Amino acid sequence: MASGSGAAAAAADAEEKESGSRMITLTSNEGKAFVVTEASARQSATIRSMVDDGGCVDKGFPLPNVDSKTLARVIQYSDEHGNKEPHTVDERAALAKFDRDFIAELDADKAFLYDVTMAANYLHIQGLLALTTQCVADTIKGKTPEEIRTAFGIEYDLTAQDEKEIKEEDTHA
Amino acid sequence: MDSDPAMVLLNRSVLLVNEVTDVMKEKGWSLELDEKAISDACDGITDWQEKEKARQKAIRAEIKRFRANQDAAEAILRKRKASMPPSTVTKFCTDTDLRKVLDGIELDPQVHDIPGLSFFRLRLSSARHPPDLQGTSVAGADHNILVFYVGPYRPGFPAPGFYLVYDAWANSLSAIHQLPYLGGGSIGSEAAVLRHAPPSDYILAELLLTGELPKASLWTWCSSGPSARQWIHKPIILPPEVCTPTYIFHADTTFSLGKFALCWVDLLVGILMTCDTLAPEPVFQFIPLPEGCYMEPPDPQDGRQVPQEYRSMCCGNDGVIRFISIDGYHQDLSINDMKNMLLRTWSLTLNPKEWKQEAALCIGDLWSDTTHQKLPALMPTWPVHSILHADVVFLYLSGPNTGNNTGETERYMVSINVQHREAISISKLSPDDSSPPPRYFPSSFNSYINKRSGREKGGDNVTVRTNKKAEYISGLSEDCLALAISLTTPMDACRCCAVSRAFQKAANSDSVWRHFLPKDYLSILARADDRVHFTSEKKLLVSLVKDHVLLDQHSKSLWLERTSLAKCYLLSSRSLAIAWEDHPLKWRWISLPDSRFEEVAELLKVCWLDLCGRVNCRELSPNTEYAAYLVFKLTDDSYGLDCQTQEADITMDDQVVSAKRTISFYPRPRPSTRETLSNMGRIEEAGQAEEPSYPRERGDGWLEVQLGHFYNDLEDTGVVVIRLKEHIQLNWKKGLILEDLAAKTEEYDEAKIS
Repeated sequence: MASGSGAAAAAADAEEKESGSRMITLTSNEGKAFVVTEASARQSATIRSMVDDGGCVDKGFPLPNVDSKTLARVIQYSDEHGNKEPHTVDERAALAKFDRDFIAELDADKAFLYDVTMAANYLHIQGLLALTTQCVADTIKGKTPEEIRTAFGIEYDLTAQDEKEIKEEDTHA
Repeated sequence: MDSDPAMVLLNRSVLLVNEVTDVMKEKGWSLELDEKAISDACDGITDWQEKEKARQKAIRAEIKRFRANQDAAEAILRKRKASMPPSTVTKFCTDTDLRKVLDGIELDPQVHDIPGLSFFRLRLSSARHPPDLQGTSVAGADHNILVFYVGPYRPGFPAPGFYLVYDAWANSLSAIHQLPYLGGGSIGSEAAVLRHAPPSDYILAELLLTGELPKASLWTWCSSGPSARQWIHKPIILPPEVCTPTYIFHADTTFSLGKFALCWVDLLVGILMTCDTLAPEPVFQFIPLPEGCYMEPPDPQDGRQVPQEYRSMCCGNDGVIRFISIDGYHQDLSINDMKNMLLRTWSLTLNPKEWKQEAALCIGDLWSDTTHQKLPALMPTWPVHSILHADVVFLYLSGPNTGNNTGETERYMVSINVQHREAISISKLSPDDSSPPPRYFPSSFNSYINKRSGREKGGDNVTVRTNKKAEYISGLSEDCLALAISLTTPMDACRCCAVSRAFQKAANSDSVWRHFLPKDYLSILARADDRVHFTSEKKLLVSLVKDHVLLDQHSKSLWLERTSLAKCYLLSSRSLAIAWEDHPLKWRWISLPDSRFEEVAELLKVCWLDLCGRVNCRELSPNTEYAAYLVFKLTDDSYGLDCQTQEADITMDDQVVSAKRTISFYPRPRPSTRETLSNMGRIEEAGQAEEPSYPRERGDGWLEVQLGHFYNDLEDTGVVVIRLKEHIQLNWKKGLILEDLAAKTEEYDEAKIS
């Protein structure tokens, strides 16, 4: 169903891509639009593939699985990592510090950490996903089940049957 | 996003509703051009040219009137919709033309409890450029993702139409343009869809035959990832079983298995399966139907009929593939033939691929049983397994009413427990669900509707969260949580199982344990002498820690060390290079009941002792400290095995990594016995030298002595050579029974842990 004029449009797109100045609109599920540089948006493999497809760049990308608050935080990460490439040791150190601060802030609000993790997963932002899941992993490591529940604010919902199964498995292992 | 398990029986046929024409009907406006008005307009004109002119003019006027009516109807529709709450459906489409079409259609799921039939309604609300919707049907489904063929289009069949993907969880609709037509027919009548990552990442797959079998084309369309949102073509080779000269495989049904595998099923022959749809070159394999179920390829003149009338296959929520067949079914049989009809069900285990018959019952018995529910005397057809309960199957009954002789067709859906051999429920379908028999399949899409957390609907997110602390975890999907858990340790993952249900599910997932297993575990299992059976990656890991696996024709045995999970090996004495091993007076090969291996070497008598084992570094775990041990026993009459020049060393690619050390096969002498031993072994000659390595009891009747240590940092190419020799003293030695050479990581002292 693709129209014949697609090739011309793609060529025009390619030209624009080279200039690197393209801006891309991402829309949260609440309908709020965020305008970001293409370099920032390309941190997301999901958006990258849609852009390279010559998809609806002009109309922007609706992100039905991401709310505004989460999207704003995700963009904060992708701006930092997408818009500048670290060349010097200092720049790399600055980026590492950014990551540390970024995750420390999220770590304090576990619910928000989850939202950002889910968004990173949905948008396929590998660096961000690695950062957030590592943070979740670090919270889990070395803790007892009770401590994990407290850390994440989870209610105990296992049935007696579940517990029995766990005990049985433990004796096997 | 996890939801209570639920399922429906979904009719593949989609009910089409043209809202514009419905409004026109409601208003009493004609849906056709008024023939009478046209003929009236040319009435009385005799000149044929004038008459034709008048006719054309009248037709144009009629069309204009008709269009005006359509526009008015659309305006009424728009007005009505404006007063209703706005649609919450999100629509996606990158193609501009398709986007316009997508804007003019709505898809409504019509969910009915089992044993009723659920179906979809496709509403067309724009009369401008209406797409041809005739023939729209459900093409495939996986979890919350449903795919439709819209219009007469089918792959390999050039006709207008496109794909529509409905995500019940995200409540979204995507339109996808059809496959480029390159000739070659589709292998089946359904599209394959695989939700490879929850909630909404899916792959659409179509398999097309080429003129040159066994070559075929796999077309995939991914919703996400680096090559998303385009049809990607991969050439594949079909297994020989599906392209015999007399019969061409036809997939009656398709379904997904887990997160990677797709199955195309010919209900007469078997399953065509690819275990990794995402692979650059997916490999296809063939699994035949249970024995005795293979049907002779039918006469091509006759066609295949519709095997779904008496057979079906699906994958249950438990990940088990189930097959059901009504033996002896024939369309034209009468109700009296039921006593000869047998309903049988099977389940498929994947490792190894074997069918297990689950149930077999005579249909006639079921119908004559009056203790439970009395079944209507109609021919059962279209058997389908439940995806929730292994023992429940559904049957469709239809036929003229036998009670009153009105000849009116009655339709029922019946559910049966095949283990208890009884009918569970009967539901009479409304007669207007009408004419063509339903083509239905079990689906769990309904359990995802409205299950998405309410957050995106706006409102104060923070308060919602603080009020509902327990909701946190439902905010992190199973795969994200599993990803996080895979970054911890197996101990942590075990503790996670006791945290909550969501944690338990994630912590037990295969993706977590795959991460803990050695990277090459699948190729290791492929080398196993006896097939390793496992139902989950977790169980596999536990079994590899507890038990050994014999590899490479019994030449070595592998296990994973409990704490480091490093790959450890025992090299059988047969696999070692032993000097004089074939000399009947020097060494002999014996079998011992307490050995892991078929044969062990017994030293009869040598002076020149030399044995050496080799391991490729890539077989060991990378960046891991290993120790090498010789596992042995001594005969009662052994002697000469503690000479000072009996030394071991370890090299990696000819670099010495563990320096020479003296090895004694006799236990460390106690001070009082030192004198006697030294007479035999001449230890006193090197009194000040480093203390030899002494053996220790293993607790299984064998002894082990450490030969040295090495650190495996040569992942790919290196070879570790572990060698023990005595070439200097050349005293006579006797009575060593050699079990194996072990390369293992140092365990923690068991006593210290407990």
